[in-house]
Amino acid sequence: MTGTLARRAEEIVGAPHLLTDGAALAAHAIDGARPQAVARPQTAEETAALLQAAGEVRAAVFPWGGGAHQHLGGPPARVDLVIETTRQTGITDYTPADYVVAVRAGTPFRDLQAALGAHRQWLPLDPPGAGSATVGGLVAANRNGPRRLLWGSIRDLLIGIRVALPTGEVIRAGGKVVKNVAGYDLAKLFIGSLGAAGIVTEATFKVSPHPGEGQTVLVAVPDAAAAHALAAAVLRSYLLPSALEAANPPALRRLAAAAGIQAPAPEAWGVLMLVEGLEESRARHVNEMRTLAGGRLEVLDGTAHAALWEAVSEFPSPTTHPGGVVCRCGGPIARWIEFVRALEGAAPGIGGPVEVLAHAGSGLLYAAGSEAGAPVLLDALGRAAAEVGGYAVLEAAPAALKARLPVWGAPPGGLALMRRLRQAYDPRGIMVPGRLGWGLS
Amino acid sequence: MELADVRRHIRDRDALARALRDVLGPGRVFAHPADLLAYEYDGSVLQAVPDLVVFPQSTEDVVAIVRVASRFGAPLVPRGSGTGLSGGAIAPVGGIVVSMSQMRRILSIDLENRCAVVEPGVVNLDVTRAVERDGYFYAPDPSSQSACSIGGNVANNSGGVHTLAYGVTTNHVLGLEMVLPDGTVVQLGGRGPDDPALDLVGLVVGSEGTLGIVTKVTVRLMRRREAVRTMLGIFPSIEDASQAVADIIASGIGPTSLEMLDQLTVEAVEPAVHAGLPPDAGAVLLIEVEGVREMLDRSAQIVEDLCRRNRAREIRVARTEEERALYWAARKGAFGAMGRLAPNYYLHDAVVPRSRLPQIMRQVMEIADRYGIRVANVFHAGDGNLHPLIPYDAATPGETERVMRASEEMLAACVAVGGTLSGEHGIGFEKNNYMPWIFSEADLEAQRRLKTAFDPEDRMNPFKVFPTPVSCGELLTRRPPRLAASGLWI
Repeated sequence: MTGTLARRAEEIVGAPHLLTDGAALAAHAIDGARPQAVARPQTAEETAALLQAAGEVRAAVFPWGGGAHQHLGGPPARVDLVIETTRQTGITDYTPADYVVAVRAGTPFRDLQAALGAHRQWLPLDPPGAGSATVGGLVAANRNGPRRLLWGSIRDLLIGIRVALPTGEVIRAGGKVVKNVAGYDLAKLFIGSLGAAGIVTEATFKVSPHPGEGQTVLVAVPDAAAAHALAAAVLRSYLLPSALEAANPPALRRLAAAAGIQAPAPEAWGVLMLVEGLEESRARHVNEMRTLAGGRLEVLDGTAHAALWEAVSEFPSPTTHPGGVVCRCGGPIARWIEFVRALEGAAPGIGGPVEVLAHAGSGLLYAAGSEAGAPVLLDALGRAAAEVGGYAVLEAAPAALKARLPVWGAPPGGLALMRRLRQAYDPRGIMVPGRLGWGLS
Repeated sequence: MELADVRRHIRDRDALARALRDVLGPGRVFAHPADLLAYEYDGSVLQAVPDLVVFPQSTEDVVAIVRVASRFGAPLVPRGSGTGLSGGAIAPVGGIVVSMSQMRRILSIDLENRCAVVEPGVVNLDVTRAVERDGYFYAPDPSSQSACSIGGNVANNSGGVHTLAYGVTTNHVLGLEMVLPDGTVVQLGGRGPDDPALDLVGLVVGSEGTLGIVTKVTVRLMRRREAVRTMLGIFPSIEDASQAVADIIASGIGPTSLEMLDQLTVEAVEPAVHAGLPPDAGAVLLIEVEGVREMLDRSAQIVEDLCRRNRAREIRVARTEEERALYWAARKGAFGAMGRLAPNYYLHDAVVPRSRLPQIMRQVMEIADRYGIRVANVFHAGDGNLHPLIPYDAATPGETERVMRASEEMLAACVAVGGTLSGEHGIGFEKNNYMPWIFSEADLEAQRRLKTAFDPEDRMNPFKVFPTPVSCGELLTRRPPRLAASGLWI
């Protein structure tokens, strides 16, 4: 980054909001790479002006919200300017009767939930990093949690977006109504693209009445096959759980500890069902699960229930597995078991224990292991992904290890189109170089 | 400027037709004016004659068509069942209409993984029919679902009467196969949730055939709910019914449908459907709740209490499947019944924030009075999605123009309260020149970048979605629309 950019950035955001001291830069290091400056714009227009200025000198730009998900993506090729959104906070539009909320990107997710909660509403997301993430960061990183089974994911809930483009414009896509087919659904370009197409400055969501207190139904089963069979039986039934998880023994022990309960048996798999809604409906879910499970189950309420689901949500967070690696696998709903089998087959090469947590109704599985076993782990998951027509990505790993591993897995269909889109929206290639897979950034 | 000035002239139409026949065989290329007639229309009030119509039967056929068209510089207009309501499937500047109606195979059904792979010409309802015996369904259910195609639904991101609970098409498409304007075949998405790549599927759904031609669609299947309760609330006014809608949503019971009919609609529909709707009701609200059996009694009680609190004079609960079908016939037959009021009707699709519905209804009626026209209102009240219907006679000189002017004012009123131009029908060639009402030039330019990345030569469905120097007024049909009496619309 040149002195010119620093001077220009200072003009845009004001001296107090351009950080260049060592401590600030260290706090904003991405996979160990320190930026040369951190700018904290107050508006979308300032954000766009920063991007325009960065573009002129082809500086490498990384957006930053709460920093909760900066572990995602490949190691940066270089980091010049971090643009932090945390001065852009607050709800800009919220009529509770409309069940729509517009919020600035730097707003902490928990603050948004608190504001909605005052009207007994919520944004039905339970992502990892919920305690520190910003709304914009969650959108850019596409972080979702176990309740996606019933409530959907960010992709289903985001109805409008305001973005500062790498070319210096501020644009809107979508709107503030729950159904809208006017123009292209451009918001999809920004969900999960880690800032590669622009910096989210405001997001508009559909929200829902809060379902109130839920319950956990926990069933211990002997092995993965039994967990898979029980999850499949729930999905074939008429039950409508909010979440349905399958946890292998070490993952179940972790979740049980978080909930403050005794793990059912040291080597048991667990099937965890989250039920919400009317009392009559919850009772039916518990009763039918008892039948499906052959009688043995445990029902959790109150703090144990809440703590358990927080631990499920936080399972992919790097802080949950310090020094280790976390992989995410996606595929057809019922085929998460293939990833488990691949891990079992590769167990000798992996060495240490692997924790596995599947969103068993959604086609997602997380696997967490040690740094030493990571290459074999990722290789096994990648091969299983190819077999089931899914994907496997490395979400969290020590920076040095990331550089040596295929973080993003096999290339997707339409890669050439994705390159053209990157070129169209970020012609100078300033956004998040190195982060996206397959040379996309 | 007139459309004739911007028509894309094909260098040698006869040679183009020959080249296409070489690839597809003689029966699958229409060039004779009599054959082209049926493809002048879609479900909108617009008409335009294409140069040719072709009928691919495979992805390879589509690739061949795209390549030949490219050689001749001919635009391509993909077409599903032609039930679209915004002129998306007509060819305002000429070109080849690519009818997907012969690509209508369901290629695979995978209940364990809750998905199916279908060709774009498959009729929406046929997907559900193929899996309903096993207890599954395809959720998006536009009122035209017995005719409209999955490919058309993908193009328009179609909604339906249960979107309140289940979402629209984009929430139910997992993957796509698509032929790009350069003839490349790409497989998009389909690798599971939160695919780490850019969400091309999400960008293509709702792109109205302007980015390429979809040749396969992987759709999500859902497990049927155990039980359903369908109710009718008879209200003295739209305001009361709207407040009931707000209260039912706030109760958290998660209704799957909240549909409203106003008095004029009831008047038109009752003689046709015989659902026993009182002709003097100010508004009728159709409410549906689904879920496990144990919750339905309680949910129904909550609905009933909330309706009564908002002055409902009567609440009916469907006791049999026949009764339920009758309630729905009243809702879905509303458009067909318009034929009793006038030969033509014009239909809106604006969306406003839910709490603005009563206000907008008053404004719509005020505008109608001022123009001396009648308006029947049927709408997805739970979504804030209005469908004002204006019956009129296109044969009366000046009437079409008057209706269009009134319509434009109604749409402007919706936009003024934070609404949008279309909730589920698409922009097409009908509302493209209103796009600057809701998007800045920079917003539109950002959308054009997407278009250009897919279709740099603007070969795919030109003159759609984006503002054009020519308006659709020139293409307004003077005849009664073909589908008007069939009840297929929306």
